[in-house]
Amino acid sequence: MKTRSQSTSRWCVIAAVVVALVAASACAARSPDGDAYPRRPIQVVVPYPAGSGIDTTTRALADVINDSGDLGQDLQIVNRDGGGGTVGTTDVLNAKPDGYTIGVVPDGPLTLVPQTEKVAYDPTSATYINEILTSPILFVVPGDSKLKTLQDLVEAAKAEPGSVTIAEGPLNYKVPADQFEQQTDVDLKHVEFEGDQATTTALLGRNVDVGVMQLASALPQLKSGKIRALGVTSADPVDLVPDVPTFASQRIDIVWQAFNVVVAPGKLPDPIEKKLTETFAEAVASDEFAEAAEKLGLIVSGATPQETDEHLTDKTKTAAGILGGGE
Amino acid sequence: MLHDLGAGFASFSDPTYLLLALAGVVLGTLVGVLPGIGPIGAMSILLGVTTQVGPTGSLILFAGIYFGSTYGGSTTSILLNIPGEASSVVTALDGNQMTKKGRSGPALTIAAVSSFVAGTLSIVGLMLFAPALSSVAVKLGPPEYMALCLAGLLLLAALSHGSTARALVMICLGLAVGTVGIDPVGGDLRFTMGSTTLAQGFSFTALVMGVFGVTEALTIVGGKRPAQAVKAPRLRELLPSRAEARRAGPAALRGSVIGFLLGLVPGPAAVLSTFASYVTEKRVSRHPERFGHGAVEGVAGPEAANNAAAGAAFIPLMVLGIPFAPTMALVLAALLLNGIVPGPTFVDDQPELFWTVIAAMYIGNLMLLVLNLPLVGLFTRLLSVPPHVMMPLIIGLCTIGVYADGNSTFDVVVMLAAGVFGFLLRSSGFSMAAFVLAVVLQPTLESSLRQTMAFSDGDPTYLLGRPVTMIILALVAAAVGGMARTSWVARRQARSLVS
Repeated sequence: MKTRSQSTSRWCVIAAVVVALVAASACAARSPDGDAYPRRPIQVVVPYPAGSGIDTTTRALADVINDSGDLGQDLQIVNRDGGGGTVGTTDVLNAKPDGYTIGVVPDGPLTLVPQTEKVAYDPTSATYINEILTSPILFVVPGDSKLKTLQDLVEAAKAEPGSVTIAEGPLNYKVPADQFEQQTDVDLKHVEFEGDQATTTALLGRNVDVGVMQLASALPQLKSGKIRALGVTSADPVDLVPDVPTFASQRIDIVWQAFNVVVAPGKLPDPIEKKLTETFAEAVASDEFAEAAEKLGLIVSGATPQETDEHLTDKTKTAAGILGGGE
Repeated sequence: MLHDLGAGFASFSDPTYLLLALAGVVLGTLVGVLPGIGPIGAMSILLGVTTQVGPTGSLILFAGIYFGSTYGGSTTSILLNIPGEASSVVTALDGNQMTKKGRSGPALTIAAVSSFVAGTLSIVGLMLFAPALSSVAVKLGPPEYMALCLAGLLLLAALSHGSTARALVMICLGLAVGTVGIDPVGGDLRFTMGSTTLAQGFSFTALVMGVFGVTEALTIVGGKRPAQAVKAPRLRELLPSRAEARRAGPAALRGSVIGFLLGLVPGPAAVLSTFASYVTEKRVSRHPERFGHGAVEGVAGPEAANNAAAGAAFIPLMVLGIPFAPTMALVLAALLLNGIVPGPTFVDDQPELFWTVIAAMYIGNLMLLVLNLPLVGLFTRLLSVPPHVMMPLIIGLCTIGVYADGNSTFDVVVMLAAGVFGFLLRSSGFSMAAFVLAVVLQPTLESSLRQTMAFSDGDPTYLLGRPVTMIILALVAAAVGGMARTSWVARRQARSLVS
C-alpha cells in the first residue's frame, strides 16, 4: 500500500518531469548571495555517455551529496563523451581552477592513454579529490567452458599456440592480458572488442574463448552461471565474489585494478579544495553509497588525495613497462 | 502467462503509472518531432528523476519516450523532408514525395497506424519468444554483423533512386567521415590533426541535422525548388484511400517481421531494418517504379520496421541484461540507479516489474495511436506556414537540438558545414540517405571487420564456416543482381519505346 504523501510526491515528480524538459535549457539557477564557496551549482564532468557505468556511479554519488545538502549547492552531471574519455578529461583538466568544474574520471585517460596517444592535458598538474572506487578485473569464460583455472588456460594455449581467443578492450584490459602472456609464456589470439557488453555478448554466443572485463559488468552473468571467472586481478579475494581466486593465489604475479577518481583542474584555492575533499570523503564513506556500489559490483575505496596520487603514479609506471613508454 | 499479463495491467489501477505512460509518450512524440533532440537526450535529462519514480515508473516513462520518438520521428520526414532521427531517413524518401503530391495526411495516418500495428506485434513477440530469441541472437558474432552492414550499404546503393555510382560515392564519403576520431577497437586517435575537438569525431546528430535540415532550408531559400504552396486539407483528405490502405497493410506486416528480427541484433539495427524493409517492398512490389515517387508501401514498411525494432530492442536487455543500443543503455541506467541489476535472471527475479512494463507498452502504443491520429490534421496545417517563417525556425531548432545533444559549439559548426555540403551535392543528384547510413554503420562495420580478420587471421575461407554470414551475403547478391536486372530491362524497354 502506498501512503497519500508518497503518491502526492509522485504526482509532483510527474509535473516536474514535464516542466524540466521544457525549461532545462532556459533555466539558469539563481543562488542566494554570500561569499562562501559554492555560490552556484558545481558541474561534474563525466567523460562517458549518460547511462554508462561511470555515469551511473557518479549519479549515485551525486544523489548522496545533493540529498545531504552539505554543499548548499547541487552537483550537476555533464556528460562529455568521446575520444575514449579524453574529450571530457581535456575539458576538466583545462577548466578554470575555481571549484565549479570538476570531473569523475576513470583512471585510463590519466594513467594509460597519455602513454600511447598525444593528449592535450597534463595528469600530473591536476588536484585529486578522492579515489571513490576500485574496480577489479577478471578473466572470464562461458559457463560451460572446459577451462576451470588459469592453469587450464595456460595448458590449452600451449597445446595449440594462437588458437585460444581472448577478447580484450581498452588499455586497462590490454595490460593484464599482455602481462599474463609474458609471465606464462603463452600466445593467445587477441580480438579487440568495444567494451564489456560486446565481450559478454561474444562470450554468451561462444564466439570467443576468454574475456577480460571488470567485475561490475560481469556480476549479473556470474550470478546466473552464464559466465564463470578464472581469476581476479585484485591483491586479495573480493567479498562480492568470494569464490573467485586471485591471480596471485594461482601463482601468477598480476595485481591490477581500474580506479574512478574525482579530479579538479590545476591547483584549487585551499578552502575550496578542503571543502570538496571533506564533502566527497564523507559521501564516499556513507552507507547509501556503499549500498549503491555493492549493487553495481564496485568496491568503495575512499583513498585520500595523497594515496590516490600514489596509486595513479604507481599504475602509470607499471603500465609503462608493458605499453613501451610514451611516444 | 495471461494471468501474469493481467496482473501487469492491474497495476495500472494506480493512476501514477497511467500518467507516467502518458507523460512518456507525449514527451517522446515531442522530441521525435523536434529535429536534433532525440530520445537519448530526453532520457539523459530525466535520469535524474528516475530514483523518485521508482524502477517500474522509470521503465514506463522511458519506454513511452522511446516508442513515442519513433512515432514522432516520421512526422518531419514526411512533411518537410527532415528526418527527426536516423531511423526515419527512409520514410522521407517516399513520405515526402506523398506530401509533394498533396497526400501528406494519408502518409502520416499510414505511418501512425503501421507503427501501432508493428509496436503491438513486437510486444506479443517479446512476450512469447523473448528467451528463445535472445539466445539465438547472441550466437551472431562479428562476421554476421559485418555481413549485415555490408548488406545495408550495398542494398542502399542498388535501391537508390538515381545513379548507383553516385550513391557509392556518398557511401564512401560517409565511411570516411565516420573514421574521424577515436578508433572504435584499438582506441587510437585518427585524423584529428592534433585537435582534441576532433577526437570526439563528427557528431552524428549534427551531420543528420546538417545534411537534411539545413540543406532543405538552403534549397528553399536558394530558390532551386518552388516553395510548397499548401492549403489546409479537409478531413476526408487525411485518410488513406482504400487502394492505399490495401497496399499499406501487407507492407506493414512484412516490415514488422523484418524490424523485429533485426531489432535483436546489436548495433544500429533499427536503422538497418528500415532500409531492409524498403528494399523488400520494392522487390515484392508489382510496380517498383513507384518507389521514390510516393509509394505508400515505402512509408508503411519502414515505419512498421523501426517500431518493431524498438520493441525487440528490449529483449536483449530484459533477458540478458545487455543493452544493444544507446537508448537501452539509458533504460539500464535507470534500473541500476534504482538498485535493480538486470541480468539473465531478471524476468524470474522481478516478474511483477517485467509484466507491468509489458502492459505499459501495450497501453503506451494505444495512447500513441489515439494521440497521433488527431495530430495528423494539426501537423499537416504546419505546411501552410510560409517557408520564409518555417525555414529560419527549423534552422533555429536544429541548432538548439545539436548543441543540447553534445554541449559543444563545434557540433553546431559541423551542422552548418554539413548543410552547405549537402546543398551543393544534393542538387547534383547525390543521395544524402546513403551518406547518413554509411556514417551510422561505419563503427559497427569497422570493428566487426577487424574482429573477423583477427579471428580468421585474414583468411577469407573462415567465412565458409559461418553459414549465417554466407546466407546473408547470398541474399544480398541475389537482391542486388535482381535489381540490376530489373533496371536493365526497364532501361531497354524505355529505349525501345523511344526508338
